[in-house]
Amino acid sequence: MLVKFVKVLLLFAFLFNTTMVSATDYDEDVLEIFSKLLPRFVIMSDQKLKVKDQINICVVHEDIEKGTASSLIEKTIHNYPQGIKNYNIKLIQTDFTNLSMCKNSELFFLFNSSEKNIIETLLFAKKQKILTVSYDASLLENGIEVSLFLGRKILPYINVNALKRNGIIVDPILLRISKIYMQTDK
Amino acid sequence: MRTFSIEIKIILGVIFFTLMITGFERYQLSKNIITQFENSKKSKNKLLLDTMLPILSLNILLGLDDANREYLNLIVKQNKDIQWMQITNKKNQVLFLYPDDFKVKEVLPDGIKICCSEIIDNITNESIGNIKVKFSDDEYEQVRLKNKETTIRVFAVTLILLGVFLYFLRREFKHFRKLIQAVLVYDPKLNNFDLEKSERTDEVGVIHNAIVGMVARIGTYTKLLDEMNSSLEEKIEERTKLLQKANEKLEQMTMTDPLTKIANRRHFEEYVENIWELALRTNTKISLVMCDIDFFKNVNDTYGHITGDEVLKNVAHTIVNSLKRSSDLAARYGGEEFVIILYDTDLQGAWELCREIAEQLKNPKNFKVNGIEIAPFTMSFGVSSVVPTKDHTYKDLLEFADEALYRAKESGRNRVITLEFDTNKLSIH
Repeated sequence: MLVKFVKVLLLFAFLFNTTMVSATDYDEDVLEIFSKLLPRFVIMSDQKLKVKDQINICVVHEDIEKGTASSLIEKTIHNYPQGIKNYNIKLIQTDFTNLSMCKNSELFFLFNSSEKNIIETLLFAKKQKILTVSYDASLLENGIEVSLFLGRKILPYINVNALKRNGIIVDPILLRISKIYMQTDK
Repeated sequence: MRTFSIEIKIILGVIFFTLMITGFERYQLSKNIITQFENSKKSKNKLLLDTMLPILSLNILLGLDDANREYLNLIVKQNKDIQWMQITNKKNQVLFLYPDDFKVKEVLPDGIKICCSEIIDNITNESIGNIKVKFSDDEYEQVRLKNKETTIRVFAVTLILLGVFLYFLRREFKHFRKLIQAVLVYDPKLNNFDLEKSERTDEVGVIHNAIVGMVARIGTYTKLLDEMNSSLEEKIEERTKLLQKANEKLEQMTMTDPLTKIANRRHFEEYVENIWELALRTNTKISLVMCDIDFFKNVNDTYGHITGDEVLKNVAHTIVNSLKRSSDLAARYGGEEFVIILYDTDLQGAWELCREIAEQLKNPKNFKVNGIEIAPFTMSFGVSSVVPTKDHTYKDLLEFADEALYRAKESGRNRVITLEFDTNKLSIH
């Protein structure tokens, strides 16, 4: 009986966690747009000053999104086979527990995760002064700096306050074409 | 060569230079305005494109087609002078077209109406597409039209002001014209200069007053001159009269025998030459009488020269008084010799005259001279007559008459001998 209860409990936990983590369907078109955006975000911000001979983009995801992350990376490599502006593009896949391998990155791309993971990642990024981009625009509320606005038209979605807090500057042209997310300070 | 008045020259000069300057100024200004407008339009168009291109570039690169379209529609809405716009990618596929159905022709960009530009990826500097925009030239046409209107207005105002200026100029010249007119009709003798001194102190006034002063002086000098002339004329008239008298006297002296006061030989010869010419032309007979006082030497010797002179005077007067016509002339030819020329008189007529003279001489008055009674005396007459021809001269007639007189003397005196000129026929009467 106890064993049964534990299995049910585990199943429930797994389902719950999975549900929490896998709330988003990842659109390939949106990923395509992100794949074009990510290297440009680095070049069109003051992150380019950190770039020596290659752009390092860290794709942070849960295990369950490994495939999606890989898809994103493939798309990026496909769009920039020669790199961008004489810079190679290095894409690193990692989960939320191994952020240290991305400490020299210029950009973090975050797939969905728990709030705790998101916040910790953001703190890490802030410390390392890394630009954070998320698939899910709702994470802007947590302090993510850039996402995509998916409405009648697709636009980069920029959290200006977060940028200001983290001391990151982006190109005015980028700001011009983007939708601005005004976060109220928590 | 016709010369134009200064007034005309000034007016034409002012009109010409004013219009030239205004025209040149308007031309320069118009050119500058148009150039500035064109440059301004070019700058504006360039600025628009420069503003659009980075955004277009990013939108195209990021595949933000809807955002791009919305952005471009906004641009078109905000810039009313965009007539059409086309954006193509590097494969020449149309990404955006305004208006939707417009067919873009191949046109050359000029920066004002047609603007073209490549869309460049700011990061990689690669060309990712092309934008072509056509702007309307309505503004340009408006500027040109407005410029044209302004030019017309400026010229109109210039012409009006010019007209006013010319009116005042003409008024100034009116004074000159009046002055010229007065000077032209001025006759010092009539003293008809009717302009008074002018109160103007400008150049016109100076000239005016100078002329008035000059005219006054002319008037004074003219009067003086007139007076001098008048007195001179009187003197000249007087002198002329004296001269005339002297001339008459001189003439008389050269033409008149001083004793008898009838024509002298010189006068006679001049006269007979003219009569001969006249008779030659008119084919008229003329007669010449030569007469001579018989034994006149005895009169002088007996009674003295003074008495003799009186006799000569009496004889001369008798002869002259016997002449009937003004064309007849008697002259003292020599000491006691007289000669008579008779125009339009034949031998018979001349003979009759001689007889008359001879009868008159018988008048006792002729024989009482200065209270002295002198013996009666007679005259001999030689007459010849001819219708002059070119083959002869009056001297020939004179010779014949002289010959006739000689014959009269030879044949006993106190007679008339006629000698036909043509036939040399002699007759004694």
